[in-house]
Amino acid sequence: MRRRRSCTLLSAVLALATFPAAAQGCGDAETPCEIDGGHYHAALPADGAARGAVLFLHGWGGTGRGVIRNGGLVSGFLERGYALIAPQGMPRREGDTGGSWNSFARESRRDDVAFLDSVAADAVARFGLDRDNMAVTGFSGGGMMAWRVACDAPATFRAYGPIAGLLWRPLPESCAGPIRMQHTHGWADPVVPIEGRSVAGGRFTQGDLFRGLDILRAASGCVKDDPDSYDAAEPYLIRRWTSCAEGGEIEMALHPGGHSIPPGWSTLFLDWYEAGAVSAGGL
Amino acid sequence: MIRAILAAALLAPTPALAVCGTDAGACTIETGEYHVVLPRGWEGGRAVVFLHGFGGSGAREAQNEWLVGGVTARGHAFVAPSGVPWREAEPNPPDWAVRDTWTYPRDDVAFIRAVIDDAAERFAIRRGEVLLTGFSRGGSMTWDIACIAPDTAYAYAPASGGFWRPHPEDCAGPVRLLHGHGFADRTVPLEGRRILWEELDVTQGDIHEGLQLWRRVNGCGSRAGEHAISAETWTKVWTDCAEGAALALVLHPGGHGLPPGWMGTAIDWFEALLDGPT
Repeated sequence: MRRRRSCTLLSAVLALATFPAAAQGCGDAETPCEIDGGHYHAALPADGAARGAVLFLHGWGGTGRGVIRNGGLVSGFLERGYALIAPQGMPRREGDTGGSWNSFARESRRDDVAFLDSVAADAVARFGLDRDNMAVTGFSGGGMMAWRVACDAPATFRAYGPIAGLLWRPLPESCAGPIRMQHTHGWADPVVPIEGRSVAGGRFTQGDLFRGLDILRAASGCVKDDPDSYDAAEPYLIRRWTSCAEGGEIEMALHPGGHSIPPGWSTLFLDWYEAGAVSAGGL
Repeated sequence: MIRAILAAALLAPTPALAVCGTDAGACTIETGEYHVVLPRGWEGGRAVVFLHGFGGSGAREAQNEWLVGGVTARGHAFVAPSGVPWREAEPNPPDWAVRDTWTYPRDDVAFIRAVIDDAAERFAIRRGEVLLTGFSRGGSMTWDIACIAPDTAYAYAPASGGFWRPHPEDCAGPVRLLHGHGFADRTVPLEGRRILWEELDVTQGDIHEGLQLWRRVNGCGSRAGEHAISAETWTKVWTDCAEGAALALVLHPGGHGLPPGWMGTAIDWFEALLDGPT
């Protein structure tokens, strides 16, 4: 039974691998892949065989289409052999062309932790990706959603790479288990400041990054609050917690800019992902 | 007295004059001692009070030309109080009575206030125009004084040290505070660290959590209004604090040391608060 199953899987993977990405019928900017509850875009490396996949969640009011058309961002992943998957957040209101993520985990909105898991499952089946070698990243509101998945269901993805997005208040008392996360943030970010701020006339308040890192360290079983190592890799200032429970590893990279994806961020993320998250899992 | 100092200052070959320095001996008050270096031509004015780190002394700081020169060149008096060892038998290094659950022999909030009062009277320092600064444990003592007795100094510029655990729940009133810290400080990391040393078991607090308290006490929002980045420092200034309150953070990429140009940065900030932007 077990043998037959892995044979079936193997042949399915081989069958898929023989087709270039375009032949899968969806994924490019004009042709989203439709699944229950929403859709996503995807870009695959030229030879079709991805060594891993990274989901990138757009910011508030953004689109997966916009992400997949961001040539600089996409090529940074494709050139390293990674597929880039760009899911679409729910419309904020009827007729909205952009979308937002349910990072508050409101019951009235789509369950985006489940939705992202479905996106991953569909992309695995469609493009022959390795479900165990997938990370969730995102910018701003997309970074907040990455934190939400990381905190509520850390085992859903191998690692998390939010940029300029953090947890909302009230902050959770704890997260569900060890988390591998590289968090990137602009020192001078006025939109999502490192210390958080109130938005929408004070109805919602962004959390404090350092408090969020406390919660991550606790959930990840890190032995101490101060970092195990530091790095100043121009233009970043980096602190790392690596003496953590299995599956726990935290890095924070500050860059001197504002509310932006720093140039070359995909290199920062993939270098970290490959050095820690992937090798730790024996992938 | 002032005239005698002035006369001596005019004759002095060096730009600054140690009044209670190693040559002149320490200035003593009932509860301890301190050293003073006055700028040449001193006729009274502002002072920078510097609290040394663990194991330091006011005498040694008064001989630190880099530190002292950075103050006297700006026309301010340099005042360096000395900590005391917490154990008299087998004396251990001088330290400050920081709130960290340990029991210390002297109330250093009261001591530093007494030093400033005494120095103000002796050297014509304007009592309301004092900047209190300190490094490492001296930085922590500065945080404590700012929190417990905010009217001790006009402004506070601690570096490389903050609250120890347990953090205070509240402070007595708003302050003007500029904090400096090394991003890669392993001795006093931004998140704090537990110290087990001889019979001591104490834990440094978290600087960012401390800054949250300062924002609350000072009535500042969480978002900093100004940012500045250079090759050597990353700065945040919270610009929406209550009247009479100020808060800023200067990080440098290095370790357990004062940010490059720290005294100049702190004095620029102090003078701008007193005199308005130039």
